Amino acid sequence: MTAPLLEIDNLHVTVDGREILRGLSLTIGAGEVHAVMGPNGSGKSTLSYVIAGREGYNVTEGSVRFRGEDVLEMEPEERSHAGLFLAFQYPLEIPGVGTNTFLRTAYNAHRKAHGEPELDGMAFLKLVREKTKALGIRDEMLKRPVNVGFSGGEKKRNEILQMALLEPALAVLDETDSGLDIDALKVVAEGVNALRAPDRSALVITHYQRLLSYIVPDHVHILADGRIVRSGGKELAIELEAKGYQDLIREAA
Amino acid sequence: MADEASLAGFAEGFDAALSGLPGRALTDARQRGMAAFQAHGVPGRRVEAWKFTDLRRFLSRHAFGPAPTGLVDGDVAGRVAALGSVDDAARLVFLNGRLVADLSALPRLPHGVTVSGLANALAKPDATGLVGLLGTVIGETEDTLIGLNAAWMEDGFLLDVPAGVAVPGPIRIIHVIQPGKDAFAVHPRHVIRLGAAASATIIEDHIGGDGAASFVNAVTEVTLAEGASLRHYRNADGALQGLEVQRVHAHVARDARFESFVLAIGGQLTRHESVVTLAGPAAEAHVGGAYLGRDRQHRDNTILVQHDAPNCLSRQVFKGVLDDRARGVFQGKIKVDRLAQKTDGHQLNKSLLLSRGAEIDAKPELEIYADDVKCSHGATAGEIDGDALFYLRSRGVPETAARRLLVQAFLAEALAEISDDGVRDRFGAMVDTWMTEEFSRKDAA
Repeated sequence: MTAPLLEIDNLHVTVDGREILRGLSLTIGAGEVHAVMGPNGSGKSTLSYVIAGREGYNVTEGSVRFRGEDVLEMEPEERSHAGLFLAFQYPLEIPGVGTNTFLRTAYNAHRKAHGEPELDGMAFLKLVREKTKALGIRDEMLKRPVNVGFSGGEKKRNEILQMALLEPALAVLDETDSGLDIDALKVVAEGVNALRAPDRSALVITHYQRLLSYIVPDHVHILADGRIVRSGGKELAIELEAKGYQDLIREAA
Repeated sequence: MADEASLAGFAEGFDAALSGLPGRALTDARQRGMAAFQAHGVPGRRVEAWKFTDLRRFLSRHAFGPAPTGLVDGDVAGRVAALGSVDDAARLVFLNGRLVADLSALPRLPHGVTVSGLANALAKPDATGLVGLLGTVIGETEDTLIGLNAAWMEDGFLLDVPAGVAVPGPIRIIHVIQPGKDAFAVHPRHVIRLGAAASATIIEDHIGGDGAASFVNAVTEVTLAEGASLRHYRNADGALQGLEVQRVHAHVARDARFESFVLAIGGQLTRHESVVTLAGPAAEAHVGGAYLGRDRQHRDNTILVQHDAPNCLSRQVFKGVLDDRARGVFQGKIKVDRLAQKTDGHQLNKSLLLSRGAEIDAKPELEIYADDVKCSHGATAGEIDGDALFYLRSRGVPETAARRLLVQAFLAEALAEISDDGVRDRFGAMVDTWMTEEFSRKDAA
């Protein structure tokens, strides 16, 4: 049996001295789509940030392995080069940096890390135009500073565009559905689905079942109080929708 | 009368030297200037306007003699040549404050436009015209450094554009400080006059080498007649041990536009002081700058925009990056006269501090006597945004490259104030070079 793509084992994380994750374990195989669902404050965002390597998250116990390697020892950019991608719940605005420059810098950083020649401006523009077309993004957006003045939908589409360019082995989508109307949600979901492949996986972190109607998961996990309290197939999300978090968590306890 | 120490030797030998200084007609003005200087001496931190830039302390470390005469060395000549452009309407090169005729040229100057050195103009038998403008913009001032400049000024550039003439290319002024073994001081005086509806672009490059300390105490007087438009760009990349105080006083008439931008990137101490008077209705002032400092470099921008007439517009945009123990000073003031209704005044200062030892002192001020005005000001100082940095890194951009990108983006807002595309690109490239040094230095550390 091949090693799982992502293996989180007994993860304990504190933020400002408060324990947020309390022994979380989760294994994602190649090609699988997992959903982690949980109420507010259950540790969903902490999980995504710890995987991506944001500062301020103190791992006190446990491990995170990606393709067998210790992720926690890697810098955020190294995790990205290795094939991890976090689609942010609140994508950052970066005034003064054009979106196209940002995308090209990121894309070429990946090429460089993999020992491939960097793409020049023209070649990159051709590539990025293919991707924007598929995602229904106007070229005009590429000229604007990263996420500055973007609507909620545009910001999320920009996240998916980055994902489409970087083609990660594992995409972590942190509440990608928040702040999206149904049309924007469909576009985003289509973008994610277009990337589905036998060797690519996704971890969809969400509060609501809604997104999972469009990105159908293979496995669903309920996160409560820093731990996975229940796991199941896609029907678990539907059960959750019917019963609500409180009942489901009580049953699991 | 100030004490000996605060005069820093600048009063010594003045009486004896007076007869040898150019322009007999200026003798009285020189003596009055020296008297003004002697009254207070070199300003130090007890003087409010110099509270954050203790010039007295900076100057006290050296004994400044007169500037050495000599030839431009090969390295400097190469740098000077590289600064030229085929579009230049005129080019003047000054070495240690004195015009170097061999390196200067006036290839594309329209008829009637005067570009010359001050010393040459003063040497002419009929030294009126532009020379008559000396002191008219700054007036009879009690200011100690302007007084010192008036006392000792020898050379500088004069630009006179008659009414209705648009100078087609930039007028390039290259100031070279080539330090020797001993510290020296120069006191250049520049005069710019644009007639009604005339327009011109001046690019000043201040460059220098390494060696003993130098003190440059320059004064520029600008007069813009109705509807005139001046773009005045300065690249301050002076001598390594250079202490430069550059003062510009501009008088802007009705419908005239004054645009100024300073990139302060080199030299130990720079103080760029601008006093802009919007004297007629619908005049505009755009005073901007970017400052970069490391080690113990000191970057001071002090601006006063005086709205004396209605319907005028002014913008001050200054952004800077400070590392190590560099220190920045921003003193910006918008003063609105009782008569200056419908004033639109804006002021912004932002600093990025790359180390804990770096410091910025910002003093934004509004002084408003009219009741129907729109004025705003803002000053911020901070570190690189950690969230933005993480965002870039999470996309695979290595930390150093991500930091660099964010610093460049930060400065881009200031550079965007430059309306001349060529200058904006060139200043942008200079910032890039500084960044490369900065971050390769950090990587090596």
